[in-house]
Amino acid sequence: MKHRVVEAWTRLLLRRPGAVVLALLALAIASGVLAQRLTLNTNQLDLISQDLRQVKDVKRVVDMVGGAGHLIMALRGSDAAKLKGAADDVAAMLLADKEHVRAVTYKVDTEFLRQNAALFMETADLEEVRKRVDLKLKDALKRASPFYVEIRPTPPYELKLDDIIEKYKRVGKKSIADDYYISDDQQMVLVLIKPMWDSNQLAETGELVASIRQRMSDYSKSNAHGVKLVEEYSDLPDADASVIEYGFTGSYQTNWDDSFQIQNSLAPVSIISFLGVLLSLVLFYGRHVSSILLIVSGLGLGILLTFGFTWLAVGQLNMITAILAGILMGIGIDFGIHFTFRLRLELGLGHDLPTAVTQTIRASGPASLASAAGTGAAFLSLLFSEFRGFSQFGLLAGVGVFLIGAVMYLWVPALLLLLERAKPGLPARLIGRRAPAAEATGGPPARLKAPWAMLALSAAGALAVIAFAPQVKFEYNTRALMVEEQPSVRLQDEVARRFQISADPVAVYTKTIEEAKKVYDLFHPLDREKFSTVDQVVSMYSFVPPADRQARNAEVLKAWRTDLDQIDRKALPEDIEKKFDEGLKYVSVEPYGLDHVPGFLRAMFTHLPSTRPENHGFLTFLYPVVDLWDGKQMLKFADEVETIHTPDGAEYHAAGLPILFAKLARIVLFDGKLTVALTGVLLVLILLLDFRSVRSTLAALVPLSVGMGVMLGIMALFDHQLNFMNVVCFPIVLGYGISHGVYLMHRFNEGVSPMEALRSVGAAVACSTLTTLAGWAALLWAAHRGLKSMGVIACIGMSATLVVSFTVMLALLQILHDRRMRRGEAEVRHAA
Amino acid sequence: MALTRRGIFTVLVLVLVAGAAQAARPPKKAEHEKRLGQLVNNVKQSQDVAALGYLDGDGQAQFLLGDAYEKGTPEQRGEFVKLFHHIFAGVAFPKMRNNFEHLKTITYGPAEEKAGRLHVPSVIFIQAAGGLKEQEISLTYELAAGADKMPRVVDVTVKGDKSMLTNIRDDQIQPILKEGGWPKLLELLRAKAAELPAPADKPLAK
Repeated sequence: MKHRVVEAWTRLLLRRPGAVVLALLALAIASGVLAQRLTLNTNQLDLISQDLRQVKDVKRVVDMVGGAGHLIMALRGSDAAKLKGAADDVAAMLLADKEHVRAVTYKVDTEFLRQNAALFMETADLEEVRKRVDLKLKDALKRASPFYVEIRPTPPYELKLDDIIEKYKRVGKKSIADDYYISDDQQMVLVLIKPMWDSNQLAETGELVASIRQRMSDYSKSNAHGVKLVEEYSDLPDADASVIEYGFTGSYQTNWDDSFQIQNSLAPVSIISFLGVLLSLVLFYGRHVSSILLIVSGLGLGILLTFGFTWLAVGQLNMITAILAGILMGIGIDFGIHFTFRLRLELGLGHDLPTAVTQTIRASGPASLASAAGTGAAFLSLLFSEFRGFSQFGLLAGVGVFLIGAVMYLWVPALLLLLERAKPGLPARLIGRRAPAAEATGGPPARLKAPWAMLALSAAGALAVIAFAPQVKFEYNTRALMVEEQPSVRLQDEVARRFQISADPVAVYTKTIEEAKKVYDLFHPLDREKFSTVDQVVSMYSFVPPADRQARNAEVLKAWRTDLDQIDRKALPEDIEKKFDEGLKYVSVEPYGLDHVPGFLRAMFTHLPSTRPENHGFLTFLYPVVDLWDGKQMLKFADEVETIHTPDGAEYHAAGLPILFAKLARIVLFDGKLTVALTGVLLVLILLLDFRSVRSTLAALVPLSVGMGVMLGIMALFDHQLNFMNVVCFPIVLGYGISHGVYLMHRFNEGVSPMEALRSVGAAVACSTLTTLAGWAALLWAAHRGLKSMGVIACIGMSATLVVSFTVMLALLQILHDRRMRRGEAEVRHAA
Repeated sequence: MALTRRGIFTVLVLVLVAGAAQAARPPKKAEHEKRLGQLVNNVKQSQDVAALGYLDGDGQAQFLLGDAYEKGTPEQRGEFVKLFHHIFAGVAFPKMRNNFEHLKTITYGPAEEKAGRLHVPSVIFIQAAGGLKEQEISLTYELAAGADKMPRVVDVTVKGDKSMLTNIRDDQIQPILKEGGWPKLLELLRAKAAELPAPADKPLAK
């Protein structure tokens, strides 16, 4: 079957090179037209299966409140009044933008909560407050009395309630000391912006932030407060009180930053990659520039066809498939390299071009096909991933590998054959000839000396490194993947420090208010053993103290009011008398229920008027106490809150970005293992089909298997860890790494010595490895550390497989060749 | 001579008129009210020496010193009362004078006798003027009979506060006694008295 395909292929090329070229050009043009229609979908939510419960839950929350999380604008300054004034103006500006901004929150009327503070306190604390206030009043009365006499001066009683106020200063994560979202040190005000779209729609977020920057610049030129707004992410306010620093953070900004950094990294990386590939080609092809032009043009055609296919199959690119061109450049060029290297060899043996092309296709074609199948299988194994980013990438890259391979084996020979017809002999001069090996012309074959020693030494060396492989660690901390000191992340840390709040919460949806109460009661008071990652639950019930506590406190307040009635307030000093009147309000409160909580506070936990009827209900928010950038902590938090069972047996689910990311992390971890296993199995099957020999299959697998082990060992030795991004490289390294063994084995099976195989195919293998390395090594310059880690793992993996090919495999092939030779000689003697 | 009808009628009229006249006459002030009024008056007119005469120094000393009173010599007790009154006149009387400057009226409630002491509630009405807020000071005087059987003020309690002597005893006298006993107490009293002028002794207004 393989033979028939090869013969048909060569027949087509030899008879109709012009038609082949025209057909390819036509396809390329058509693909180019389709590729132009490709759009980039930056909505990360679309990358996950929309049938997942976690996705549906997030979409419901988005429908209820307009989006998961906020775009947070933090204003930092040394003058609290100016900060608040600027916040008022900024909020007004943003609210006027009804097209892009749904809501802005920067202050909340907390008068209701302050008034009822006495009912929120633990009864023991309320009694302590009463005790201290009474001491102050008595001291004030005593000193105000005309009969007060001091023989020795005594300091007046200092009323200190800071320790108790500190405990109750926050209700539902909001300080009640001030209506503004202002930090305790009065140096930062937060403006929480809810855009008209969700945080996964990155392009819109980028545009909004850019427009806000422009508005801040205009505002700074003239405003009522005489302030200048400057974007700055250092965590100390400017000494000049008229300078207010601002910055962006929150889930909208961090999502945008992360993808922007990836895209930003890719632009220079693509250029470096292309230049690296070009340099590698020049290194191996030298003055044969036409070979380079042939290969690069074929590559371009193949990539164009792949993008045409992308439009037909998917219709758009996503954040993962956006890097497709770069990946395919490094992998696809191999086909052209192997073709031209083999062609030079055949021309060097004295064949004319048509014969050389035929021989090349017969010899290299199957190897290239096996290599394409292996690489394609590695990519296509990603089709099983629940994460569309991976499954689409797998489909497009897998098909792309075959397309580019086919194009190379059509375009390059077809062009050369056409040129031969126009100018006989020219292609051979342009491509060049490789002098045949001595054994090909009847001379003694080159031989690797002491193959057993070489095998023992190289295998020992490999095993010594592989011994460290089990120590490879997995980096769960997603901060380690980002650009170092990302401003929005630094600002998020600063906000968490100043406001004592952690990341955006997750939301538990309930249909009825009674169910919301059940969920609230499950987390309040918090069982820290059961919910070790939860900091606090916030719902509208956070604004209603427990009924029993209210009853006890009401008794304390009643007794206190009776005592206070005994005080002759006119006997108090004037300043104390004013506070006395103010204080009487706080001790005159009565127990209340949810119905008394102001509507605007309750509205934070219910749906918008525009919410679809099926999503009407209530939300209860759970705040994490752990750092969600740490993947392990995020997974633990998701485990604790994703599914909640109340005592009556009902089940509820928390929804939000942490839950989604936890699901994604699990998918990536699972897919990483699945794709490696699947790719391994597929590779063995492909090689068995190709070689039809277990021995050849096993020998071809040596560079890959030993190389991967060496790769893991080196990673462990240099403490380079696996992470959520570079784990995707495993199937790619597997699929690529197999090609070394495949090409060498195919050449070896033609009957040549290992040294001749190394000489003829090894150079091509080295060249193709270098070009692929150039593509991946370019990622080492990426500012995004996740991309960088992908480059590191790919480079280590491919280099390791190359070294193993030229050492362990070479020695093994020499041993097999020696046995083959001895068997051959024995057969000859027997026949004689 | 038998009383004629006319004579009985005349006597009746006279008795009735006398009774009416008696009823119309304002009630005779209780002695304690008189003395309290005189105390207030003396303070108002800077007749501190005279005002101090209406205070029961021994009674105050016994309360302030507690157990230490018996441990003191008669000379020490005498000096204590003298110094305490000097300080009291120097510190409290000027404040009281300030309040009394805009005194509107003083009312007294019914006195109550408890454990040999008379407790007299009073309200001092001070009208708002010259920066002073309008005030009602509700207080209770505690009086004891002196050797001459005349009531003298031992203590004063402002409504809502502990009594004057209780505050001075708890905040000042007892802590000083704990530190250094009689010597320390007298030393500090002398030092404080030295800072203050002698009690004013303006002649009584004619």
